[in-house]
Amino acid sequence: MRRLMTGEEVLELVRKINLEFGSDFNPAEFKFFIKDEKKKGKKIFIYSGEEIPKIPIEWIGFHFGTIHDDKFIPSIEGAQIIGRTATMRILDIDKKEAIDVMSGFDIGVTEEKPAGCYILKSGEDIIGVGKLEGKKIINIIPKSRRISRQFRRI
Amino acid sequence: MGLNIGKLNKEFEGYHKKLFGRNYDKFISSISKPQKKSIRVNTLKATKDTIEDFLRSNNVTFSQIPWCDEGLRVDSDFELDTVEHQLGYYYIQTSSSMIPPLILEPTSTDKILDLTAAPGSKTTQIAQYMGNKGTIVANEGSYVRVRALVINLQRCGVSNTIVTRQDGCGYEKFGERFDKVLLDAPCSDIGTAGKNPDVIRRWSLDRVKRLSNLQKKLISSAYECLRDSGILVYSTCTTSREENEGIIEFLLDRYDDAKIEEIKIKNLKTRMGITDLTRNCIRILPQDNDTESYFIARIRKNA
Repeated sequence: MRRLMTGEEVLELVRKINLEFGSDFNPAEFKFFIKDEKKKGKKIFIYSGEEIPKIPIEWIGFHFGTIHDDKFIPSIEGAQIIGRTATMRILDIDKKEAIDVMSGFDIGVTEEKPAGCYILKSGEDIIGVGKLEGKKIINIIPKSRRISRQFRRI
Repeated sequence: MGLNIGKLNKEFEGYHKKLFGRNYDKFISSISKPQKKSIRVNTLKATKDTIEDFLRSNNVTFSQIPWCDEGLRVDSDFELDTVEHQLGYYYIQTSSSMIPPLILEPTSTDKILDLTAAPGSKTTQIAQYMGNKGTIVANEGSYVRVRALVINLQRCGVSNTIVTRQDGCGYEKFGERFDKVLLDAPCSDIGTAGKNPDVIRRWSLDRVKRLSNLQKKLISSAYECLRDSGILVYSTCTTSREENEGIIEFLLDRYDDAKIEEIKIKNLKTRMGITDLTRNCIRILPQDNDTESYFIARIRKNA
């Protein structure tokens, strides 16, 4: 069941995000909704329109991210918003690695960094997030957002 | 090589020869050739300059779509499912389907209903014109198509939209009233024959009549969802009178307060509706602008 988050819940979420990513995310223009999907975590949606109580809602705004084990994992669109001002937990990758990520592959890293969720940035493009484990970024790009492998351009 | 329409479907051939008269051959040769690919820059996420630079850096030739500032026709060999596409920087969309949202003229304060919204090309275009302000309700009846719609809304970063999964016929039962409604109705799809010749094979007057009955239910529902002075844009990507002018005549007959408004679109050659009552509607023929066929009407309530 999806529900509108309270002001306090939103502030707590924003505090958590800005702490984790060193960002300056300001939620003023959005309403936040939360949907508890049990094992998959709590999905957060942001919405900038007006509330329309009379109609049965199937989906609202866009998926901003998921709270899992008390950690916030941004969606691609969430990462694109947070990434505008984020100063921490950002990994720069090159064009070829970006294509690999968007094709569903894990990629390697050379730098030692703490494990966890990182915003992946290729030049000016924020392409989503990956989970760093050791020297590997585990791919968590949804299947619906991957480019078709036969058309990968190297 | 052109399609052998007579061999594909005699009934189609007879109907369209009568409909287009001396323009029939031009029409057939235009729908037989595949359309150039086109994209719409999603200004919610990218600028046109960025996308033009991206195309140039991939040695893709492109040209401006004259009637849509964000629309670009691209080299047909270029594979468009790129990282940039999946990041939502552009939407792969036919050049003619960019027209109904332009005619709807969305503003950042509107409350808009897109009654048959999937897969979302027009919804996402409307959202970008609204700058993610105002409100859109995007409805789609089928679960599978709702999924495609949601993926596209997400990809394009559309935040001002609610999706509903309801039968579009009878949508007025929710009691919500909108400033503008877009009804891009399910139709016999003859406009898409260039990429899918099956639509010609499937075409029959019986099917057109069945679709026409559905379109009448949908347009009644769409009209009743409008507030006073609201705007309804009705469109199809097909040719038959029964699915186009016939539907508008049905609406005018049923609702005394409905009035067809004149449509003006820059740099686009259009033809008038083919019946006396529907002269203000437009037909877009493939031979005129190198597009799919389209029919569009703009109707005001209580004008």
